[in-house]
Amino acid sequence: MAQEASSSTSSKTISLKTGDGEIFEIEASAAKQMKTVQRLIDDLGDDITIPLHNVFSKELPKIIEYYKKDITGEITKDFEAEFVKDLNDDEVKVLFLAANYLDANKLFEFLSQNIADRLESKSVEYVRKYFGVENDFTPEEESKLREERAWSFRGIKEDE
Amino acid sequence: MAPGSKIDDSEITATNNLFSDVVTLTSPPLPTLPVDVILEILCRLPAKLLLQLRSVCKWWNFLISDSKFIKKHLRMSTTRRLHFLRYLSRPQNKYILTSYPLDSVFTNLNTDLTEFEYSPNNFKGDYPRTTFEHFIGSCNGILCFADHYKGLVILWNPSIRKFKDLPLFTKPDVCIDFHMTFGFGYDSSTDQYKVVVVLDYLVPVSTTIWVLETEVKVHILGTNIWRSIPTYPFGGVPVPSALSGKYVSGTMNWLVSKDPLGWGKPCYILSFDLVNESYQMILPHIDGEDMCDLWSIGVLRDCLCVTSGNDVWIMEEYGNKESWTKLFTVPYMRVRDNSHVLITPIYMFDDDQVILKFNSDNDLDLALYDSKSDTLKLTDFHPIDYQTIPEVCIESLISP
Repeated sequence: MAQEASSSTSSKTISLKTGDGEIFEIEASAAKQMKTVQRLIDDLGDDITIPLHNVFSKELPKIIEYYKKDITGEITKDFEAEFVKDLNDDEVKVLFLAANYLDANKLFEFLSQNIADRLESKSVEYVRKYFGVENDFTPEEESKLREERAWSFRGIKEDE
Repeated sequence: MAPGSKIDDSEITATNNLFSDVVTLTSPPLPTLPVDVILEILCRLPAKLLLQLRSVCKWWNFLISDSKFIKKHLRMSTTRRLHFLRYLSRPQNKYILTSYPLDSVFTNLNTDLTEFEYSPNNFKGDYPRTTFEHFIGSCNGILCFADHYKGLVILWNPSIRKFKDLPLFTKPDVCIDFHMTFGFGYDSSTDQYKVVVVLDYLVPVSTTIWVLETEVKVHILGTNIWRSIPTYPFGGVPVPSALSGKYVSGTMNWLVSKDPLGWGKPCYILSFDLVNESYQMILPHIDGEDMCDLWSIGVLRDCLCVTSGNDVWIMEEYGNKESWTKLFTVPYMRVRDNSHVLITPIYMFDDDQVILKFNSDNDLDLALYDSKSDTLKLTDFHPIDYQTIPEVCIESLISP
């Protein structure tokens, strides 16, 4: 299908279908900020519902909310703080992966920083669980590594 | 944004089919995060945590130690600290390095400090006699200081707590009035850190006649030697009161005086290009007139900066003499005995406030200049080593 000229009005909306079958509307100018969505629009046209296999109905509204604010230039530090305030570490991670899948750069960078801030005072064990990484060091190897950097292990918060 | 980070469609379709009959739909289990996505988070973490996270698993140990990641971390790094150096002579013979958060100059708190002691291996019983030591400079998270008696240069990254003593260089044989002035910087064309030393001394040509000689040597970090290179052709000696060579935009810069004893006023800036190892003479001037009342040299916001009297000038575009701009004039400071107050610029914040050091009669005071309101106020920040000139250094994982 031929793509509309890039001077499409901001009132034009695109339909997005999540991996769990729900449909959400988003303004074309907001969709432009998510490169994956824009690529799909370029391939499939903007009149059909764009399927997003890897994003679900729990995350997509939040992402749409972010970009709604972005296109009106209203994203402030206060808004971003409020945006993640009630999300726990796992919810932020899911949102972060969705932003990655959608190639939504601004949200991706904001969430990278937010996750980094959350991890700042956490322990090695917590980080392993968070990223789903298995420890393949032997107990001897691990204690040797910790000894070499003993000073860096002082002053960590207990795991939540 | 990392390319190729899209999840494989067939994998997702299969998982979706599994869940398609479930009434309450939740997201399927997360696939393992792609590496480039993990790195986007890791590169924003503080160095201290990253050192711990090397214990997460073997793959992470490799990732975090990899030079590409370390460079990425440096690019993202914004944490800076204020560092002080002092030397305790006999019987301790050790350096004390202390650092504070940069906003201590605002909060005046001197309790959030990190202190470290160091006794270089190369002292070997031959210790520095002077207690006045100072940082030569810092670059990419590495601080550089030296014992100006033996010429022992020490590199130190406080974020990873690693020291390195550099090899000693050969000193001239028969001479008097021997001085060494160092500079520390980074050559981006070869990804090498370099230390440069300018030696100046007097040699006898007869029983009553002595002439000034200068030598320049370069040390590349990771090698064992100091390489002698041709000295600068403009004459004069680096001025000790201006302290070391300052690194900016791939060059090293010293204030030089034409007086062979180095006591005269500095009148030009010796610029040394780290990449092609060539010299340039830089004369700060405004309205066609050369400034010859230069007192100190420094770097503010990656621009070369000089003080002339009470004026602080920066060269907005390095090498372009038309780009010298007066940043501000320090408001008159009353001093006890009318001796000249030496002003050294230390650091400029994003909001244009400047940390300055005032040196008069061995008394150091740190002051904050606010360009918006043109006001200067002395800080109440008085750490124990406030006599020395502090250095602002960024956090990084780079090994010296």
